[in-house]
Amino acid sequence: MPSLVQGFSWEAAQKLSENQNEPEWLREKRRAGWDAFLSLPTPDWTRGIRGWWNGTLKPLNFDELAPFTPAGQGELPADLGLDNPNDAPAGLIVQHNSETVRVELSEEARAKGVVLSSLADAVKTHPEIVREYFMTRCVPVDEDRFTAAHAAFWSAGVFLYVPKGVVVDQPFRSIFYTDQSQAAMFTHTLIVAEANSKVRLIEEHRSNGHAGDPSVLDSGVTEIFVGESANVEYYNPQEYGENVTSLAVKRSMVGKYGVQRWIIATLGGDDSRLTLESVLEGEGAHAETTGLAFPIHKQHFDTQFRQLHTVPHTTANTVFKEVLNDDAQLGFRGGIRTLKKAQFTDSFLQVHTLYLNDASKADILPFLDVDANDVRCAHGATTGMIDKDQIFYLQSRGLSHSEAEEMIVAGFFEEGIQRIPLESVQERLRESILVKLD
Amino acid sequence: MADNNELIIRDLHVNVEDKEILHGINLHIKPGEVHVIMGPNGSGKSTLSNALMGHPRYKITSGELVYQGEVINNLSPDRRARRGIFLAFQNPLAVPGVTVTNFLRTALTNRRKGDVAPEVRPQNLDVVGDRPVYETKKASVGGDGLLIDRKKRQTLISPKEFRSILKEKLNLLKMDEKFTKRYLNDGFSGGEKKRLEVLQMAVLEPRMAFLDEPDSGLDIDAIRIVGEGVNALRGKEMAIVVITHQQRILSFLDVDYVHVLMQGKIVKEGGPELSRQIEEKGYGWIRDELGIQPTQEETREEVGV
Ligand SMILES: Nc1ncnc2c1ncn2[C@@H]1O[C@H](COP(=O)(O)OP(=O)(O)OP(=O)(O)O)[C@@H](O)[C@H]1O
Ligand SMILES: [Mg+2]
Repeated sequence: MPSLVQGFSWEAAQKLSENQNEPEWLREKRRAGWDAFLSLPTPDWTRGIRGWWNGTLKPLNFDELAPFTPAGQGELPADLGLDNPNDAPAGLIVQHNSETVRVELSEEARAKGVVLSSLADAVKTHPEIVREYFMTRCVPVDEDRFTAAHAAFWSAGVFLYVPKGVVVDQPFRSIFYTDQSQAAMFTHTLIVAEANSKVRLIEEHRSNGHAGDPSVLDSGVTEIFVGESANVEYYNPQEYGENVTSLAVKRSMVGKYGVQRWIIATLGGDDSRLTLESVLEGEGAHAETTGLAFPIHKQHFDTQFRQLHTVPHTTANTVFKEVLNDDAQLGFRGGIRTLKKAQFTDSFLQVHTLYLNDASKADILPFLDVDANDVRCAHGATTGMIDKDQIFYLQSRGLSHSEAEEMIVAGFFEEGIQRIPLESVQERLRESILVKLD
Repeated sequence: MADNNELIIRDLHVNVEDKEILHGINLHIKPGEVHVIMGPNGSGKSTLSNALMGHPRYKITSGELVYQGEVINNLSPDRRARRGIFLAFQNPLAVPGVTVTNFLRTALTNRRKGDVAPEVRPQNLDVVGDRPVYETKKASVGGDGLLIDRKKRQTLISPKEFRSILKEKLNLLKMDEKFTKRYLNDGFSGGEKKRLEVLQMAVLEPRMAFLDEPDSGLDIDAIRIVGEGVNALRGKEMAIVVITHQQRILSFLDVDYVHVLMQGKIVKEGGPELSRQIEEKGYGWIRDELGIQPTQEETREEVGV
């Protein structure tokens, strides 16, 4: 059992590093993170762009948050169905609080040279890869104050490496679960998919807390490298309890003819902020993004999205769908950015927002920032209440008003959910949405 | 009274957006009968069907809808449906993301339960001032008892039983099973939508079915399939009201009565021969016979402008 240091301090970060016997370069990285954490301002939030957000990020008391918490004795939620034989993934990794508690890899995947392990282990087993890709050019240490804290305090983490030409159709699965209060999690996922490989990861964020419980922070980072003609699919249901502040930065660097698919469903958290970006940096690269969000009660969600096209002939299709109820607030600022040399970009962004009541508020700001002159880029947004004629149509067949509403909202999200490759995860996500509708 | 499945429409006046469209409709439809409603475009046929089904935009300003011996003017559309009223829409709406199977399984479950007074939703809220305070116990998601409660509440017809019913009805209407896996009317062709409406009717087995132009946009073979299908579904129990502009579909049905709707009123009634006369001669002669002034649109159509 490693000894623990409460609060955010360089001493705590050092202790983490020592306990894991980390190499010098990594300790330096933590140091760089700590220094940046001290010097950077708390980032700007979308809220405020039009002046009506009445809440800001709840002040986080860093002195009271423990940056490392052991797994402890708590059970994982049964409905994760981790041992469901019908839905066995190609590999499974579970992080409970700040520790990795379970790693499994199918014989087939292992034989093909796939590596699935904690990132902390990968530092020892695959130091060159980690050193090249971990918080370097994808999500740099000093991107903002929270990535800096992340670099200083991360532990455990997920490392998924797929060698050249290896195709694994069966999805991998990773779970981040916390049942600690006043804890800070720094969940990290690093996926490196070499040329011509194919891999899918379903990553779930869960906790046992509820609204009103002492707060928990997850300052997470996901870094994905899609090699030439490789194909990476990343599915992420985030279902934290309503006492969690979730600040996630997810980015993919997509090489020549590579394909990145994202499906991110943000259902949980009290304040949940997602920064999401695909950087199409190889000709012919393609990104496909689906973002689902459903804030209710007093949840505040915030999305910063950017689809970045840096070279000619890249394509992307992005759809965000969000439903709001109660006093929820949602900010969305997202756009398509094409650099001057990124000619022949074809990129489309849609944002559809559905209100279930009058009190919830969304601030949707899609944008185009196009420097190349021969491109096809467009965005569209729709906002409104549920179509009354649709409700009437379903009611005319005997569904009650609330059943009709449930079905329409579930249908609104269905397009994204049905693309998730494990049926049990699909089912649970559907249930979660229905529960939020109750 | 509940097994008296007659529909009596008594002096029904209906407004759409504050404009009166129906000016006192009277109809009496008994189980087992087949009625036909014909009338020029814009005469109010769809308005009548929507008002019967309880569409909120179609406001009954006076008169009564009496079904199963009760006035149903204020009953919600779903309660009317659960009692056995059905409307096949002229322009069925698409509901993306909702599969035909899922939707119909819930609809059939409710139809079998019959009409029940609306459930009172359990209140999880304390109200402080004018703002609700959400009970903190209730997590948005997570593994507590909520899921189980939910499942208990919804006892849907078993997938096995539902599949076999669906299969039988698909066969009857010569429809491919793949339709049922698609989203409700989403990307359906005009004709496919019409057939899906009739499929829904076949599954839900209503007592009082209004079919608003089930034949428009269908090819000749499809009209026969739908006509024969509807004919096979009707029995002593079920009344059918077909709104149509064409004679063809009627040849598959044993029509009892034909009603002619013009300018929001039923102006003429008769037997099957009346629909044949209209097919042949249009509506001009009825106007002449009854001294009805054509509306501006009707005049334009007739002189072919
Ligand atoms: N939702 C609505 N909003 C505005 N006007 C409406 C609406 N529904 C019906 N109307 C008007 O009411 C009148 C009757 O329309 P209705 O659709 O009932 O005619 P119909 O007899 O079904 O015609 P068709 O044969 O073309 O289907 C028309 O003048 C129409 O424009
Ligand atoms: Mg009509």
